[in-house]
Amino acid sequence: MRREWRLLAIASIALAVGVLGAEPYARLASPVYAAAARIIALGHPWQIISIGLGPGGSGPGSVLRLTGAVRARSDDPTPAAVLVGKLQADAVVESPVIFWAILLAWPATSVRQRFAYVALGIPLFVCLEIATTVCELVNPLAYASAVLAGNPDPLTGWERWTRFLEAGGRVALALIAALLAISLARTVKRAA
Amino acid sequence: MSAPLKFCIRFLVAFAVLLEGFEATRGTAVERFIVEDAILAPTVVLLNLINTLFSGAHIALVGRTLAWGTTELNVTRGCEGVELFLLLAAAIFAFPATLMRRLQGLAVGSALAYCLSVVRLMILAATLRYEPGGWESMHGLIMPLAPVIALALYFLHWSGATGARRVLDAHAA
Repeated sequence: MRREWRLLAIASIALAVGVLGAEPYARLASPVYAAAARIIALGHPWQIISIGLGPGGSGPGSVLRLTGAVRARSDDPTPAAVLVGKLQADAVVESPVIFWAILLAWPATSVRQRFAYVALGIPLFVCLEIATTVCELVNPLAYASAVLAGNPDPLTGWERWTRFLEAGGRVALALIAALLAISLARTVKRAA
Repeated sequence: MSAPLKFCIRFLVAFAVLLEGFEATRGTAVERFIVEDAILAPTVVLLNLINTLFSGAHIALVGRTLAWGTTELNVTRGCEGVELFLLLAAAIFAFPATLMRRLQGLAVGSALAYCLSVVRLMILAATLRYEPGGWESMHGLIMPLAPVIALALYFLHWSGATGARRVLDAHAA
């Protein structure tokens, strides 16, 4: 099969899997997102209260919500604000769809090589999920911190990163993470 | 450094630079021209043309909102489709090819990215109007990715024609 046709077939399957599996995936991944968000919050006056999947406000789809409290200072007894970061379940699954579709469809000479792609892909995938979904969810907390620090209209690094993700960065990062996993697997194979 | 890794780094750097350049136009006349005049206005014209043939409903462009009766599609930054062009331009820059091939790739690819952006917005508007139940999937996953896949197919075709894809193929085999 020509490479172009193969890509089209794989992409169609990946999209179908993504549409059908978006909500279960987001639900399953929520504890991982929560753990990663709590680690990120360690260096900030933020408290991650919950992350969960719930109904969207205006449509039939589900939304992943991070609820977090922000304090002006870490030792303040009461939070100054409680905020909610939101992401559509279908948007959450975007980078996993791209990453795994490339990793599983990239030509491999043996099952062993395919296994190497996947084995090296897993840690990169976790990093990808943190860099995309988790960072986007905690963005409102960073905004609130900047406002509490006296900046009425802040453009934080988190906001800039979120804009990058929203403007195609999510796709670019997923593509690069997958190619990096493949490249690492081949380097390891050559070194062995 | 392997060829795919080199491609990744160059692609990411080029994409970040292009995106930062577009980000710098936020709120300026350049951004308004690109988003409102070059993308949204033709989208509304085409939708109205199609509507004339079928339903007769009129769609108005109010700022960056496509108002279709009671349905309103607000096109925010990142939804207008400029990233399609930026992704393609970064990929063409990152790939080993002659200047002429790159320019050819960009010229055809830009036209394709533009058409895909307009068609994407038309489909999203129609989905919101006629099939709101499918909006989340269309907006969150299918419509962001389907045009990227189409551009990836074009990129594969273009890179195959350059002959330089053998470098990447050799690493993939």
